[in-house]
This record gives sequence, structure tokens and C-alpha cells, in this order.
Amino acid sequence: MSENEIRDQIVKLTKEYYHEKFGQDKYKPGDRIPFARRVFDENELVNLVDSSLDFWLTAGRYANDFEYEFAQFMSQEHCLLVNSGSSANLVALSTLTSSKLGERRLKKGDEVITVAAGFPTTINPIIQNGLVPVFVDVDIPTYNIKSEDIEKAVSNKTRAIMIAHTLGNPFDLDAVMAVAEKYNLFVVEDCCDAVGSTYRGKMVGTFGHLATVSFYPAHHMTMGEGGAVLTNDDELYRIAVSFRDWGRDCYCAPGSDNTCGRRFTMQHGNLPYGYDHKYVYSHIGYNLKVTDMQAAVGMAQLEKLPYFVEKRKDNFNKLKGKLEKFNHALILPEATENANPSWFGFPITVKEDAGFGRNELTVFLENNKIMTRLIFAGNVTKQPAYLDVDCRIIGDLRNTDIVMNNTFFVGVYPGIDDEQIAYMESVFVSFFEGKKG
Amino acid sequence: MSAAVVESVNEIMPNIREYILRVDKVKRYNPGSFVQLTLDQVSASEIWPDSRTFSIASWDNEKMRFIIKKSGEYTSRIFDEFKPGRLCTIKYPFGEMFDRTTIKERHLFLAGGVGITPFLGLGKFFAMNDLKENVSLLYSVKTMRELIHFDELKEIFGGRMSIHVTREMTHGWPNRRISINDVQKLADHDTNVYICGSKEFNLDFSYLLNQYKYTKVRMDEWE
Repeated sequence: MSENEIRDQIVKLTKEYYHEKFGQDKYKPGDRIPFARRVFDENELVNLVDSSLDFWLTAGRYANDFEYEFAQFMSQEHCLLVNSGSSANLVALSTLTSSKLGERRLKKGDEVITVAAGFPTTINPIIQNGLVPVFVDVDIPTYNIKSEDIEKAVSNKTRAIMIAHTLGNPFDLDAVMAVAEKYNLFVVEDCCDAVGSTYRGKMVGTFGHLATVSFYPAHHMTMGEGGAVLTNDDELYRIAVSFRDWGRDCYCAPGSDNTCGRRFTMQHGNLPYGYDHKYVYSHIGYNLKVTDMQAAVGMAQLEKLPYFVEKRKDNFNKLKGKLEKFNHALILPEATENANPSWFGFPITVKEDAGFGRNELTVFLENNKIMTRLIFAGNVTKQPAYLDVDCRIIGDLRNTDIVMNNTFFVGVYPGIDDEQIAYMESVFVSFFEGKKG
Repeated sequence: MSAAVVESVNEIMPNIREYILRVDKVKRYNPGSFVQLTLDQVSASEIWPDSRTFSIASWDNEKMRFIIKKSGEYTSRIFDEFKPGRLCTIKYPFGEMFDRTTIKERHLFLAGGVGITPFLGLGKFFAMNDLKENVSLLYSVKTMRELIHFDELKEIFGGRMSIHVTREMTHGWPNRRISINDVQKLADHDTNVYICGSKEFNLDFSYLLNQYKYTKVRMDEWE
């Protein structure tokens, strides 16, 4: 057999294997309902095996295609694949510290406005870059930054705003961008939980200077581990590539040399003239690249992404319809005005006067096989790792504490169907009936 | 990286040709940018083969225009092998020659021969933004036959263009090399000056401009 014939045979067998191994993997009553899970078919497995047969290992043809296609999906000019959403946040914020930005760069001690009710790696890059997070309270039930408090957080050291669209619900981009423009601030939109969400009909991530996404299995689409930085700004893109790729000045892709044609004919820093451009470093960078196998899975997922987004929206609306009867005790989520969220999860806050606590409800749900999750760090300033972090807090973060104490979320991921939603409703009904008794 | 196909070939001189390529993956055009082009069809999962760098003359959606001078083994291969329908691979867009944030400042382009290539796209970009008054051109060619896209240049640069024909006498254009006086007439020290020509042309003008304290100088050194 020729190489191509063997390859075709392997693909055929991979499809058969998929149907044997995963083909019957359907929800049955009594199964656990996860808050999130990978949804895939034979195409992901075929792409994964196909890329492994290239044995290119680092970013290759699938990564090249993915970056192009995903940028188009997100209405951005540039997409830079990295190995996680957290890495995407690290690269995005580090990009703003580049000396190539001159006076616009973020310097140690500068302040970045953010929220404490979120995932830690939206905040960590601020701290890791020697910057000071300024925490603003959130609104309930959008779980996003309180619009009226953003300007109060601005000081003469404020240089950027970096916040996530919480659980897929876009933050008030009108308010955030108005403050950013007024004070000439950079904006990083953490879209890790918000792929496919729109604001005033435009894709999230296109409002700020940089956007980030995650492709961890819990997210809107997956490549196992993976993430991306997106931008419409050519200069920020080039800097981001450098931070991802060890901080090097050269932008040759893996396996390429002398793309610029001046590899040995330039002067850099105090290095001798003609020092190999491949080993010239303009940033204190990292190695945060993906493998082509991750991107191969991503390419198959990307085809399903429009369906995933719609299914999440549909599941959210159905679940909200079922749970509205409990709004005497539960605060149900609301989309931000002008937003059309592609929900990551369905956040619920137990009212202070509900007569029961958040944990009582989540334990009941978990015991009945409905997975629950908190809104990540709750109030991150109270987490052990952050107790000694130099930060500024605006107001008393009252709602952030409510999120920490009373809020959780359940899933709306595309693998949830009407049967599972009906079951989820029945478990809530049982819980509240138990309360009556 | 993108696959590309040769759409058309136009001979300007026996050793200078214009090639229009249609690219598979369309990206935003940055005037003054360049591509890395290989005659081979490769994917991003293969070692990048022998290739050369070329300035983009203009880029209209998926159609990219190049002006290539036959000057060595690789460009000879391009002349021999690039016929309509021929597939190749490019990496693009690269380059930081033009900074969009300076669009409202004054700019002078110094071109030698096929070094006019990036300035065709750049000039068009200024014209499209109704800022063609901000750009001037000094263009040196050996003979009038070497002059590329004269009508297009006239349309963009109008009276802010001077063509220096070094090896033949012509009506209206000086029969000598571009001098520092020519530069000084069109550019003060706040003007962005761009150089693109042969290695010798680039070296001569970067040295000269440095001597005359021009600091906003950028150079395009591709083929």
C-alpha cells in the first residue's frame, strides 16, 4: 500500500473506532448532568489522528488554518493560538507592557481596572506584570462590572481595563469603552467564556484592543488545552507573537528561517552587528505555543461552533423558562442591555431571605446528579493567594461578596437536551417541595 | 501561510515582469508590506523550502500584485515557471516599513528601479484616504522603458514627483541621479523618508540622509 492508501485506511479505522468507543455515549436518565463537557463526533478524532500522522508536533497546517478561520468567526484580523485561555490573558496583558509601544506601554505600578468576582487568571497577569489591580464591584444579575463605578476607579495611574464577559454575558461595552476613550486606556476583553456572544450586533472581543478565548474542554469549543489572543491591531499582534514565542524579535514560524531576509544583516541592542535574528529577544517572553494536534481538534470543533452557540442560547432560554417559578427565592440571570449572550453557564443567586443557603441547594442538586459550579474565585481578594497582593478596592464589593456566598451556576452546554432540562426542572421542584414540607 | 495561484503575467521589460497572484487566505493589506514566496506547494506542517522575499505592489482583496526583476537563480526560475495557473505558497504580510499612525505626516519616497514596488501600494493607500498631498516621490530609472506604471504614479503624485532617468536624455525629466538637494526640496527633517532600490541605492541614501540629519528614515530591502 502507498502512504496515502495507508493514511486513508487509518482514517477509515478511526471512524469505526469512534463509533465503537464513543458512538453510544448518549444521556440516559440517572446519568450525571455536567455543567460543561466536550461535544464531538468522528471528525475530531479523524483530524487528531491525521495531524499525528504528519508528526509535525508543533503548530502546523491545522494551526495555520485555524488561526485564519477563527479570526474570521470572531470578526478579527489576527488570531494567535496559545496553549490555554490563561496563557492568552498572560500574553495579552504582557503585550501592553512592550517597550515597542513607547509612552503608551504599561509600566510597573500602573493600575488596571478589573473585577474580583471572576476567574483568577483574568487578574493574575496584572499582578505577574508588576501592575496593580483595581477591583470594582459587579452587578447582579448580569454578574458584570458595575457601569456606574468604572469611572470612580480611574486614577492618574490607570492605564488599562481587563475584564471578562462573565459566563458569556457581555459587560456594558458602551460604558467601558466610554471610560477607556475618555482616559486613553487599553481594554482587554477576556472572552474565554463568551465565544459567540454579541453586543449591539458585534462580536465581543472586537471592542477592545485585545481579546482572549479559551479552548479548554468546558468552553464553547475545545481543543483539549488551548486558547487564543485576538486583535485587529497589527502592532499588538506582532508583540503578542513575540511574547508567546520566547520573546524573540524574529517572527519566523517553526521550521522557517530568514523570513525577513535580513537574518544576519541587522543591528539589535548592544549585540554585535549581524547577530542571528533568530536569537534576538525584544521581550521577556514565554513559550506558550500549541501543538498541531490541538488545532486539528479545533478545526473540527469550529465547524460545529455556530450550532454550539445557538444551542447554548436555546438551552439557557428553556432553563430560564422552567426556573422562573422559583424567583421568590432565586435571582435568575439577565443579559446585559444590548447584549446577546452565548451563555457559558446558567448563574443563579439564592436570595438572602430565601430561607435556605446556597450550599443547601447545590448539595441537593449534586446529590441528584446535577453538577454545579461557583462563579470561580467568588471574591478573589479573599482567596489565600491574594491576601498580600497590592491592590485597590473601589467601595465595599458588596455584590462581589454576594456572588461569593450565594451564587452558583449549572450547565447549558450543547450536550444538554430537552430531556435533561426537564429533569433539571424536576430536581428544583423536588427541592422546593421539600422546603414546603 | 496561504496557497496562491498565478493569475496573470505582464512583461514590462525583458528582465522585469508584473505578476498578479490570487491568494487563498485573504488578509488585510498593509501598504509597504512584503511576502515570503516559494515556488513549491507546501503546508505549514512541512519545512519551509527555498524562498525569496518580495514587496507587494498592491493588493486588491484576493489579488496581489508583484513587480519582479530577474536578478538571480531564484527569480530566473520564477520567470521560467510562473505561468497563469501555476500554484505556489506565500507567507504574509510581513514588514513594518509604514506606520499607519503617521498617515497625516509628510512622506517622501525614494525609489530606484523596481524599488518603486512598495510605493505603488503606499501611494494608492494615501490617495484612497484623500491624503495624496502628503506624499512625494523621487524615482530613479536607467531608461524610460524601465519606468513602471507611469500613469498610475502621475495620478497619485502629480507635481510632487520627479523622475530621474540616468542613462538616456528625456523631455522634462532630469538626466542625472537623485541628489540631496532634490531630497531637501521635498522633505524637511520632520518628513518620513523611505528608501527602496538596489543594495547600493539603499546604502548610498541611508548614508547620505544620516549625514544630513534625517532621522525618520525607513528602508525596504526586499527583491
